[in-house]
Amino acid sequence: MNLRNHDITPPQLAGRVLLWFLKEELAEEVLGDLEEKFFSTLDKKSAGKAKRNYWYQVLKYIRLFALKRNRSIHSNQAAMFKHNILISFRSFKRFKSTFLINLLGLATGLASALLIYLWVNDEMNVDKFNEKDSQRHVQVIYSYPTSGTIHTELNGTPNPLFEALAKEMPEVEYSVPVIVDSYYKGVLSAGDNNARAQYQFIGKGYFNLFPGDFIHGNKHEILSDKGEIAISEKLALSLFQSTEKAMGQLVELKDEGYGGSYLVSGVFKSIPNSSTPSDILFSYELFRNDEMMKWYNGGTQAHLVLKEGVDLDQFNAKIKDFLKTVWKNSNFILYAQPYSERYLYGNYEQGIPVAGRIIYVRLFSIIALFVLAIACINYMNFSTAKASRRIKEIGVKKAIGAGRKSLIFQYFGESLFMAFLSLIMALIIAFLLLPQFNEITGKQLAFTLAPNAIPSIIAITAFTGLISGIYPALLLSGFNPVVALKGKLKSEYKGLWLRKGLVVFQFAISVILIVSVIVIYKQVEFIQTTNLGYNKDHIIKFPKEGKLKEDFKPFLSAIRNIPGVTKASQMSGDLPGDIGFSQGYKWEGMSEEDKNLRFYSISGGYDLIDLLGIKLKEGRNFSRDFPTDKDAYILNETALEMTRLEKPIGQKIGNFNPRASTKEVIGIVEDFHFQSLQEKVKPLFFRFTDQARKFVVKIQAGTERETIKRIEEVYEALNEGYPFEYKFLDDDYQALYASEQRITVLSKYFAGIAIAISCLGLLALTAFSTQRRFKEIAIRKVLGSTGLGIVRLLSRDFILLVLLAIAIALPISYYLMKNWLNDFAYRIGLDPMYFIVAGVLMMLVAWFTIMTQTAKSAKVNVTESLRSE
Amino acid sequence: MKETRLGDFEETLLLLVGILDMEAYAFKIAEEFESQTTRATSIGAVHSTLNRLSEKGFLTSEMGASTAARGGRRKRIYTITASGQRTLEASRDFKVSLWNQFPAFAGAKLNFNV
Repeated sequence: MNLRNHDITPPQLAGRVLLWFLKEELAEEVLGDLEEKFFSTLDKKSAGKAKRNYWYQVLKYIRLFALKRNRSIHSNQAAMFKHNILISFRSFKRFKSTFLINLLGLATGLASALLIYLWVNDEMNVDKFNEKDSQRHVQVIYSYPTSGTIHTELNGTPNPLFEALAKEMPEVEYSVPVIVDSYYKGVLSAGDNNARAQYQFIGKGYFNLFPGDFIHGNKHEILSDKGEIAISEKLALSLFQSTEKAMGQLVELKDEGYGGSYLVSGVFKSIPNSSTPSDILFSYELFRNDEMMKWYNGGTQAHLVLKEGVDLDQFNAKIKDFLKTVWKNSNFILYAQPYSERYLYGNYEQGIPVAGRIIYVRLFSIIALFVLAIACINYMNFSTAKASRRIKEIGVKKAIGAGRKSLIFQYFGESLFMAFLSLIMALIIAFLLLPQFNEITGKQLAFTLAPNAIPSIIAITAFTGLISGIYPALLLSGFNPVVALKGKLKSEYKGLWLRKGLVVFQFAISVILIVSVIVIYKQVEFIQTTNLGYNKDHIIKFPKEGKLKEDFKPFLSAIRNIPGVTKASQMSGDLPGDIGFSQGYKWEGMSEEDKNLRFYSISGGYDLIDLLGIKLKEGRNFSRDFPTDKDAYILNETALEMTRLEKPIGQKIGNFNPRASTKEVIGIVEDFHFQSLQEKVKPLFFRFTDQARKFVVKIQAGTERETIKRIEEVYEALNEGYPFEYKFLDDDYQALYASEQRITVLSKYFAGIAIAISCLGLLALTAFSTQRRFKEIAIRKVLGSTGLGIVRLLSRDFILLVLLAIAIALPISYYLMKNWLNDFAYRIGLDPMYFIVAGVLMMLVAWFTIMTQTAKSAKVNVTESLRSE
Repeated sequence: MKETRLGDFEETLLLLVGILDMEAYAFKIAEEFESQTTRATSIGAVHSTLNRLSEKGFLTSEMGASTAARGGRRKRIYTITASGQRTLEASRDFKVSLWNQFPAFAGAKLNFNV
């Protein structure tokens, strides 16, 4: 005992924990026993072991016999609590249909909100990375004036910019060059295996900003040599069947600019939540050479890491005109945008980012709130309506001495209980609908209850419960007990007005949603069916590479012989959207301003204009009979208009660039929408080339499958080592409007849900009010009222409410839809029919809902309902 | 009326209380249990069982002396009651009678050829 070290004592915290839960009368003996145990352990074992054992012993005392009794079990509050739960259950049981409708409405509302929450959460996290320097990561974008507007480019500031900014600006800690472009695509081969792959160039420090999940290789050390590459897991599996075998292998890239042998030094997993997926990573050093690092060459994204505490606005003011100081002739304006905001704020006005996809995020958040609000309103309406049946209960409670607080507590408790009950249902509904929802949104949302989602879900539910309970709780608890017991309540009128107001609000929202759905649907349909000026159907495209790059003639004539092929040609650029442009053209009669006029250009083979179904308005098409057509342009109408050429055919268009040759205009084509319909048609010209980057083939409708198969056979016979991969021209067009289409489908569903919930509410409310008027109905019938008269009487109030809602909602929806349509350069007009249809539809649905209830009560048995009491 | 049968752990503890006599308090009983059976237990588990045995009327207890090792706190000493003793005996007799009914053991001679 003398040997005992008195410095070591049992852990104090454990002792405190023990005393917290242990019965007081046991404290002395237990503490004594545990201390004896502690010191006896200490004699044999280390201090750490003894302490741990002490904790163990403390935790093992959590047993029923040793716990403090909860003294409040028999208290007043607990008894009330039990009583309240009982009363709630009884009232649920008594009004089963109301209860079920309530539950169903709240559950549907919550399920919608949950799904939208998942989607919004996913959208908000795109490109948000948690690497070392991701927080201070900005990307420099540039803008320049052209054709009267300011054009903004994301992908590719002048190549030397990233280095110059890092050197000149003290605010920049370091910079990382990145090159991502759909242009950089090649075929990677290992042995007999070939796979097409997108590649990108990354500079040192890339993985301080972007995530990288490397299965093999260290992400901070790879690509130290120009000859090294890292490939994606998918690519490694398709070339080597295993990621391990890929490491240290030599692979061959078949590509124009960067073809050659490379050593695989890393294999990475593709990154979820990134907007720029690539299969191959190259070192930026491979891209760098003296010519490329001239100011006039661009393509490199400049990613900067700012020092701690740098003010972005000040920094932007400083770099705005930076380019002009280092590069004469530049009219570029620079702007640094936090990388994580690029996805949601991807539209630019005057070179400054403005809201982009965030609009949809906001839109759906608002819809979620609306749907929830409608569901909450239902609950409020039911509870206050039901209250008149529970007035006596409240009166008795108050007479016995229940405080207002305890009544408020009871009603909040009830609504919270409802909310959480609905949450369980909502979770089941959301879980079941998630696959369909994913299909519509084009995402892979998982219903993983991530730790950060649980508090939000609980918060949403609690909020719903509180909001929906707030009105009944405050109203019902305020009744005067004497009046309440007499069963006559003046304050009910107040409640009635509010209830009516809420119904109006509900239906107004539903009408707005219906109008929106109609307009969005019509606009999308308009886009789908509008005459684009070219025919995008039944055209496939595939890259022109390998042997076929030079030796394409036999291939083209071979596939022209396939019966299902109508036309075959080649073209550069992609319809719609990816069309190159340039400026600096000159022609006779141009003004000084015209120097900034930007021309889009499509170059392709002889048959291209025909193949695309574009109509020639004047002049002639490119022809094999005129060898000079290599230096000829065919303009579109907009280009003609902008250049103000009077007799265009035969006019010359030159270029301020001395190396470019002067071209002759040989034809004019009608305007066609080569970009999204959100853009106006821009000036464009066609040029002839046999150096285009891809083949386009028009196929006879209905023969796609066998024709494509035969094209594939020809392709593979003539172009060994290159996989045949084609796409329909139509696909890109669909992709361009994918977001609008998703919005249409989603808004359709959510509008449907909102309407359904509103109608559920109306249904229960009419049911309730007709039940209350049973006696009145019976007396009226006795006195000779017809069934129809009674139905009219009962319906009138509600129909008026719905009419009022429609009247309020139509102007609001007009304003909202006008705003939305303004984003489209080519849009539908707001036909009055849309509003009439929405109004009538709402009216019919509401009328039908009310009818089901009132018609039933009109048939009420007079003797039955008058006999009671 | 409380349940008066004994579980295995209860029976063992009851016997240990008897063995330890004046030293029969939770910590000592737990130590003794671990050293005799080489099975691990916690003071809490022992205390809980002692408490239950007291409720059944097999044990009584009173606060005893304090020692320095316990920081001057007193300990609760348990003693077997007459009813506890009877139950222990009944349990033993019952088992012995069972043993006696087992013919192979009852004769103290194993004969497998019968």
